[in-house]
Amino acid sequence: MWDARFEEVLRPYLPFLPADEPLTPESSLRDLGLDSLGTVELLGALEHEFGVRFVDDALSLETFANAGVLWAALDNLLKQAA
Amino acid sequence: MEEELASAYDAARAVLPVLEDQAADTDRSAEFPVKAVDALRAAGLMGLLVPVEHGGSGGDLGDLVAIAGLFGSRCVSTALIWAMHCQQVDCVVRFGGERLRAGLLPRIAAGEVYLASVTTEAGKGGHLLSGDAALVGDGDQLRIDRQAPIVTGGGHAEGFLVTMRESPDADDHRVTLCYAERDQLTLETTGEWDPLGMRGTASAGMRLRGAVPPHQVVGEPGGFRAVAVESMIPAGHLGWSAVWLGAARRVLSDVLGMVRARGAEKVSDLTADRLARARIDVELVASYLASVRDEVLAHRRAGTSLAGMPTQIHLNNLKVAASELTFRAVDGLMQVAGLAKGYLRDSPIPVERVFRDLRSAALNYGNDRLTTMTGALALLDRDVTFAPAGLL
Ligand SMILES: Cc1cc2nc3c(=O)[nH]c(=O)nc-3n(C[C@H](O)[C@H](O)[C@H](O)COP(=O)(O)OP(=O)(O)OC[C@H]3O[C@@H](n4cnc5c(N)ncnc54)[C@H](O)[C@@H]3O)c2cc1C
Repeated sequence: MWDARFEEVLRPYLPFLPADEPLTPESSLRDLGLDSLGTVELLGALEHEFGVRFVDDALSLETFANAGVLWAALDNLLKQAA
Repeated sequence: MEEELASAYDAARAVLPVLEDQAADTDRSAEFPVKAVDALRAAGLMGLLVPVEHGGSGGDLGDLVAIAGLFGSRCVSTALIWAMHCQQVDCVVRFGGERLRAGLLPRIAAGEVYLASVTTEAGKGGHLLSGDAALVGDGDQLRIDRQAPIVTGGGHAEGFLVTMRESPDADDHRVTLCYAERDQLTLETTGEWDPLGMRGTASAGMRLRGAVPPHQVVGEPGGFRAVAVESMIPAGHLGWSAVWLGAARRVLSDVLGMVRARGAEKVSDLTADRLARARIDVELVASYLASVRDEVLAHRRAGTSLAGMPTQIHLNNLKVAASELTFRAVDGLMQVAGLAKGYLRDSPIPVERVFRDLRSAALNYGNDRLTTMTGALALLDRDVTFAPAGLL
């Protein structure tokens, strides 16, 4: 589904997701506690981990709607870089 | 322009003297401007944003801006009451289910329903996207019991759009917006309304208790965020900014008239500078309002979301800039008008009243909440996309 590193980076930004509960593509990141400043930090962390740079034009509040959408955006960048 | 819309503009111009005539008394009494709002109801203006097929004028947010600005030039309280009503109507038009729309919109257009807004809550303050009091399912009804510390026109509204936590065990940012009829609720007024300005909005606190059927939920249960992003926030920031701009422009115009009436007396460089500064402030707000209005209208015409970072930033900046610059302009103009014409309540020009009214603008959805959010969003738009995007 997604690179394990993605979930590793993402989880610390989701205070309401218990460690023993699975993260699904439909999981709403906001419901799990991602706030707007957390979003900024998370993007930085993903860029650092994967060595990519998000194109801001392509970002929208929707990009952070759930884990699946965010992974798709990241995966897209990774494919372009490859 | 469609016939319905053209006649709405005619009607708006025709009610201006009614708004003007009651503005000073409304301010003094801090009572809801019943006469002015009745005139808006009778003129069909409560239905500006209601689609023509439901009996309204079929206006868009550009029409809201134009007419809110006209009203703001006459009575800031009445103008804000009306703009906020239209903001609520936009939410119902865009996010109400078929049954709610068919039942409610024609009554709004007929002037029978003035919609008040209940988003602020005691514990969470102004924070729009969270809720404390929860909807409680009870058979086929949703029960409401909610404190609302500030409800514009709450004593006179026939309907309320209320934000509630989705359910007793939902997280506090799972917020549901629902429509409640006055007669579905038991209303209690809590506290007095004796503010510095915007006195006619009669925004005393209330406790609302009652129950509504599920089809009165606007948007998805727990999904108020989408309603806020696509409708309530853009309609609010555009409409309020237009009201404040109309008010500041009126004061500038009156002060210019006053200075001109001094006749042959030389206009000092200091006065000229102060007039220029006020002019710059209102021009900046006007241009930015036009840009952001066009950005929102373009998205709506294309059917695209307003959730993009630049659009979110622009909508926040509009509200913050309009609230600060229009107030600053009127503050400076008070200095030009001087004690007798500027500072006194019985001056022939309403500098003092508008000054008090516009001081509320930075608090009416707190600018601090917006700038802290905008700062975070700005970090997600390193390209610094302008409104309009193609400028540079
Ligand atoms: C004329 C008028 C009409 C209104 N009508 C209605 C209505 O009809 N319905 C309705 O629901 N509400 C209404 N409101 C309320 C309005 O929308 C705001 O919710 C309310 O004014 C905010 O009040 P507040 O400043 O106490 O709250 P908050 O925004 O909660 O702020 C409280 C305090 O916290 C500070 N603060 C906030 N965020 C931050 C931050 N991130 N960092 C640091 N400090 C922060 C603020 O500066 C302030 O001192 C109206 C307000 C006015 C002025």
